[in-house]
Amino acid sequence: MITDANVKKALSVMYGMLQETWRQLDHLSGGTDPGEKSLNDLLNLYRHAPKMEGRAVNQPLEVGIQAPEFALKDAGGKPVRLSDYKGSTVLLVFYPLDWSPGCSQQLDLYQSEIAEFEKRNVKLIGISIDSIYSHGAWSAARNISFPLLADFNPKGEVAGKYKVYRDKDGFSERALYIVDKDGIIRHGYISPYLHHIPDLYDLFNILDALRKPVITV
Amino acid sequence: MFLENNNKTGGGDLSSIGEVEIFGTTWCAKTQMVRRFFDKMKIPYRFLDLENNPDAIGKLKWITGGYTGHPTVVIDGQTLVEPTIKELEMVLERYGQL
Repeated sequence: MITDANVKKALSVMYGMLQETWRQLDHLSGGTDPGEKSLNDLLNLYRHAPKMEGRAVNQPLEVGIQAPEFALKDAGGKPVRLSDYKGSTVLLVFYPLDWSPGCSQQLDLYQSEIAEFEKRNVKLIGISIDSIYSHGAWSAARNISFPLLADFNPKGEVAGKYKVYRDKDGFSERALYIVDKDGIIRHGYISPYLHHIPDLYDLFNILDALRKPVITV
Repeated sequence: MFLENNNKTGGGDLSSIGEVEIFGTTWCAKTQMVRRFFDKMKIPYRFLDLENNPDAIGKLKWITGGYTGHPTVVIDGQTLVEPTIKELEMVLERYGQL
């Protein structure tokens, strides 16, 4: 522990400068040519991308009903059905668009917590209106290990079935559905604003509560 | 270690590092990621929710000279505005925590 106030202050300033230098170096790490783009540049494109901040315009499907079945292609072109996951709890992550600011951060967050989802026996599925090729590039760049499904044609059809499609924008709300092992919707949530990422602590608490056995008297 | 829904503190006990404060919002992905970083490191912190705590906004502005970007992390008096996980690891390394 550094106790001397002046020394501590000097060190803090020095480390602040070091961090800025580190950021600059990190930014330039792609190659020797200043015009050359690196993977980091690609990953950080979202930081300077146009904002996405609209209010939610939909209400989620009610809890307790059968989750609508779907068959959508993953990034490899393989059809994925909700019924393929029968017997598992599924977290359906509807998000507006690949590469966009909030979505990049949200999926990075979920990927960094993948062990916590696995601990709770929860399978993640991402769904957006992007193509399989966009999903492939985006998930490879961000190291996303769970499937991203292309709600591409008819555009937003599955989002529409789940009442999360934004007609005027042509993409979905930022929304979560928890579907139980029998295909029943146990939780539905639409972020009040597109740039609001659902609270992970709340999400884990809900998943934990759903795992507890219901005691009837 | 995952914490129960607790917006005020997090982590476990790690006395060699000074007070840690995280200014942010519950809907900010980067704030969530930073909080989870400290949870996993079992480092206690105080979370100051900028949407539900007007005093926190005032304090943040005072610390940063008016900038309210989030997350902003204060570790033992050192302010880090929107730090990356790599930058947080560098700071913790100074304290011998990595």
